[in-house]
Amino acid sequence: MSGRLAREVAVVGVGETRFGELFDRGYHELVCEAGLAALDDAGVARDEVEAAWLGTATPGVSALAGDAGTDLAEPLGLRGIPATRVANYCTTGMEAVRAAALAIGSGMYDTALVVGAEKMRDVPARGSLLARHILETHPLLAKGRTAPGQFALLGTRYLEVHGYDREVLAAVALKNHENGARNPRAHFRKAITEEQWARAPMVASPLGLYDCCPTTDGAAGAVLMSREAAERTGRPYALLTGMGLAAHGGYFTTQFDPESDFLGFPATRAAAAQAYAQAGIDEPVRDLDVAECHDCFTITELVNYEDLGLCGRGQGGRMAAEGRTRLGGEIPVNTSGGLKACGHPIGATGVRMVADVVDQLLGRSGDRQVEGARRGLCHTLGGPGIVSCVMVLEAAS
Amino acid sequence: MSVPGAGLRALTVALPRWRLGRAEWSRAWGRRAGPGSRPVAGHDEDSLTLAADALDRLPTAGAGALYVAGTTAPDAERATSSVLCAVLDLGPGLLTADLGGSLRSGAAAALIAADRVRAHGAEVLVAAADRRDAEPGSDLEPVLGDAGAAARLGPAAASDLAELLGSASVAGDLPDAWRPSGEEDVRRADPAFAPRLTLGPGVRAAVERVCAEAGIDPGHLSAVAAGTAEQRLLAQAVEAAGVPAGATEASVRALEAAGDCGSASPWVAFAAALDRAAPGDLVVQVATAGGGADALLWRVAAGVEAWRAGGGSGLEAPGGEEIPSYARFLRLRGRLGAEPLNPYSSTALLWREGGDELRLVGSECPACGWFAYPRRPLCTSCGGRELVERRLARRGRVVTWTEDHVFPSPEPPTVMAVAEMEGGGRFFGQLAAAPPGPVHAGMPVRLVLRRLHDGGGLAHYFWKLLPTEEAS
Repeated sequence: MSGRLAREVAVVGVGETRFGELFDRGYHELVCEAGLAALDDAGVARDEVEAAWLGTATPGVSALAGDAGTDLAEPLGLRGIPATRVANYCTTGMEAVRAAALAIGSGMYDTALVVGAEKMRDVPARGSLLARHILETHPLLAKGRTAPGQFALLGTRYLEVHGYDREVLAAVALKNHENGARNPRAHFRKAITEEQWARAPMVASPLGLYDCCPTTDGAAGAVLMSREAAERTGRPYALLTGMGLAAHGGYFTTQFDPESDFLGFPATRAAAAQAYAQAGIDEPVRDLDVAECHDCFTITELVNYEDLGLCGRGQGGRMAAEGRTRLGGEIPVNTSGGLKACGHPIGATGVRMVADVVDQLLGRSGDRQVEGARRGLCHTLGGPGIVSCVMVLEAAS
Repeated sequence: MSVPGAGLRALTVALPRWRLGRAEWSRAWGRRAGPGSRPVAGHDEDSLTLAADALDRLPTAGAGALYVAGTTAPDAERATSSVLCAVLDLGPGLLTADLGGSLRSGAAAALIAADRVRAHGAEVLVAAADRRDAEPGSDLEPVLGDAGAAARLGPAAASDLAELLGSASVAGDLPDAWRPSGEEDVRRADPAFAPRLTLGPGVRAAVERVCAEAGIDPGHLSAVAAGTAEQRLLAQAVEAAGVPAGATEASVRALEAAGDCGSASPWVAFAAALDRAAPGDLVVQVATAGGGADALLWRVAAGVEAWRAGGGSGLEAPGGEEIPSYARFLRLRGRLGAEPLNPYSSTALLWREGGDELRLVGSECPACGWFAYPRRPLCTSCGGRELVERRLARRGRVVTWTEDHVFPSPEPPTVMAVAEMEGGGRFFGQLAAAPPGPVHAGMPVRLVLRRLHDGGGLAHYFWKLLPTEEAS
């Protein structure tokens, strides 16, 4: 195993819809808007696309739109080329990017389109929760679970073992809301105060309402090309220099696993190790300028810092509280506002992260810009932390 | 009729978590309801889980039959006894049978169990449980109770709690209480007329006959145990049969602790009598309904002292948590409506997994000792493919937990906890009840069977974690 792509892969164009409760927009409209935005950004015509990947995680809440690659090919009028839907829990969007990168890296294609999309608000926000854990899955083992509840298990244990007060979670919520307030595409575009955070109702202790990402509609797209083809476009681009994916445990068994310490996610650590080895990253805080990580809940961002090697075990809370991951800090994390403020249309999230980091590397992030960003990281985490994807992107020149 | 040779090996009573104070009931309805409280099954408890709780505390190994009695089985055609057989992991080779259709079914189960003991020398498990409802505001509502009881019978031995000396039954149909098929609420005849003409004569005849046939003077009985709500009439009937005054004292205590708990009531009353009986005492256990009655004559044996030293029936300090309000009681009983949900169910899936979840069966790797629950197809530690069955231990300690306010439940919030079980393996699931203080890591818990949901119209049972006392 070489553990790396056979040739260099570039992200040439990216595009996103607005994220939010888009009651007036259908699934196919979102896919089309994000796909066209990415193609226009890359200066690539529809008929130049050689293969396409669609990431959607839960078609069941959107009348099965997004169930197959045709839900990307059809709205964009792509005909006679490969179009495939992929899914891998909340890493779905990055899994779609990864599929395209592998295909281009293999030498089979030069130009691929990726769209991640999720239409979650065609049903009430509780609909997706009920679907996942009550109406669709295991008749016994699933009952009593929710997404916040499963991550809250880490929250309880993290605070206790590392001796933090619950307020340490607020640092993440406040930072991501502050960043989201500057992101025109974010679902929530307003800063919050610590008092608002503290007053919010409890969702799954110790996670309150402002510790949880919302249920959101949205789509994001990216055009991937071989480096040679990217050069020929004459457009700015970023290189995908590291790409790791790791599965670790099962949806219904991970909490039963005596090895689970409920303080972090082995899947993230394994995926990061793969990506860092490919990209030649030894000290992530020194070697990276910006990061988008999977803050489905505030506690998740804290343990991500540790699993991604941005700080030592138990130091995530301190890192957030000291502001080292804010804009202007040592390593700004989730300058987009993260899942917390952007929202989390599951299939779109990973692609949206790639788009945000590419924007940072190309100097297009406006008042969220990290000055001189050369190298960035994206990280998604799926299921109750059982699958993770990590990518490293670098400015091309 | 003489039924020698059957001994009572063990007897347990299970009361649900909640109690409804009669003072709270009176506040809600503006009528008097007497002192004390009645036990109330929660939203995740029914006659099956109450029977499971009672059976759980019996020695079950080596049993050749399981009879389950009650008029409120969760399903009219699916055998409660077979579900309990899986829960207790008794194996498929057992005789399981379900008795219902009468509030006397709990006594009937004992009588046919005794026959089986005599005929085959078998060890037989008997469980009787009911979850009883009455129309909100009716006089019956604060009087009924939810409870389960379980007994183990076998060929009489010196270490038994009691030996069955004989029995007598009286058939009779002058209904004092009834419940049309398909309905949940117990109805009652004119209380001034029916009980007097039904309960009294039936009980008196049964007690007189069982004593006469055994050649025992009713004046030598130390207790007559019946869990009926009509304690005054019971006392009169018993006295009329020549039994010393005060013999129904245990019945009064049973009623206070467990209410009129239907098919379980003769067992609960008998357990209350044993709580204060001495070896050699003669006790008649009575089931009464609709003018009919069964009387079982027991002679208390030496084992009662060890049983009492081990806590006895538990009825002397029944515990339980008073429901904060009558409205909450109605919600617990499902009387206030609930969000309509139809959780995923697949009978094929449940069959395929062979009751693994109910039996708490996990996989152990003989090669490296790795153990996992639920069952896995392969040892994820050493890759071993020849895994063997091992049951997860029932006791453990909390590793981490959350109080979840979004999971839909009739009793929010739902506390979910991960527990490390004794001897290895973990369990992740709901807490069956809140502990007295806050949930914390290291808190001791044990697994209890509860009704999880009714997806597809089928009652689904699974284990929940119940906080227990700190080990001293």
